Amino acid sequence: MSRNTQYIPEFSKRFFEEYSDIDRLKHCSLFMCRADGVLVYHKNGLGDQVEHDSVGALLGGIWQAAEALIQFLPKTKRAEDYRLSFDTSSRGVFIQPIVLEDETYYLGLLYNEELNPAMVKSKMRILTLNFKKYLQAELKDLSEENFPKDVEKYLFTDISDAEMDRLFSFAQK
Amino acid sequence: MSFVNYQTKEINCKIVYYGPGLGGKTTNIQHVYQKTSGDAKGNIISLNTENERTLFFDFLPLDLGEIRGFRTRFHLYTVPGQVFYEASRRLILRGVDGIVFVADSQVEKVDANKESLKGLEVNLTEQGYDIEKLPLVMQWNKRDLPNIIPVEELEKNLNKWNSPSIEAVAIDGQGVFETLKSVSKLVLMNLKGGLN
Repeated sequence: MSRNTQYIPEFSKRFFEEYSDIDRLKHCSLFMCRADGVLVYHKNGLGDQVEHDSVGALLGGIWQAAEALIQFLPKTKRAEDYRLSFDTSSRGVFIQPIVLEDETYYLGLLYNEELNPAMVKSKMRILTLNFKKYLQAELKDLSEENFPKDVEKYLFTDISDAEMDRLFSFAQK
Repeated sequence: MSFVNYQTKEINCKIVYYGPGLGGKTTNIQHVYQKTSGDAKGNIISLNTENERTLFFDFLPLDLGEIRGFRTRFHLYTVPGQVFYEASRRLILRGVDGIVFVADSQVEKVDANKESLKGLEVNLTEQGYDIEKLPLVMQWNKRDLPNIIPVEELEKNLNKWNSPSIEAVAIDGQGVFETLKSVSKLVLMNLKGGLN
């Protein structure tokens, strides 16, 4: 894992709050997750029924399944990046990858009741390009302050059984 | 791979339940879901075939609370156990932090257990993992059935890394949380990135 990964949630939040015109996209939710499905950012405009963690796992899963399918095609020099779309004429999901410092993230848009989904996807493509540029610029010069002092050292040298029991106290008998 | 956010003090880890078909992987996480209070769990996602066999994966997010100031979240996945879903199993192992191998204790499942374990080793190696360094817990499931292999034999045949092992009857919940707690502890103790 890149040490900079921990800053991505904060930078994403800032970008989508201050710089992007995502608010022009109505009836949609935006999610960014890591390749293993861990969600690093979400902006939900579709209501409470959207389970954030589940969306992360599913975005990661479907992208990687699609990527595995593509491996069956003859290998050629790739002219453009892949994107993944599953939609009707008014609702769907649109996913694009963002590679930052050798780590792949997926930016997914869930949209509903859109009159012109093609326009939505076109906007998303531009937004993704700008977002990537923004993240690259922000990640470039980070201070050392919040990084672990020794990446090879273990975070927890010992964890007692009592601590584990407390962690699992949510389990009902 | 785990995601430790030092700024927000959050830990995210991925645990995969692996093993032969119909061995009880989904039953394990269904029990965790049923016995977990509302605030600590998200919805369980199951991508199944029509006859309720796992097609791609089951997924359950768990918010365990805090350990030493870090909010700890575990994402539990199962792989599809049926032999022909090898490609799906490979995908689900990406980024794994800990594994529970759910072995079926029945005599007639000896070969299926061995084949599944071999597949796990191969899939992990292909993705650059060393199974000996990865937190792994063996679960001997279905201990309530009459035609079962003695634990000593399961240990000898399947547990060549001397990983922690737990007897279970997942359908009754026996051994389910013990297994999860055991692998979770190993995963947390395996996190790299010391602060001092």
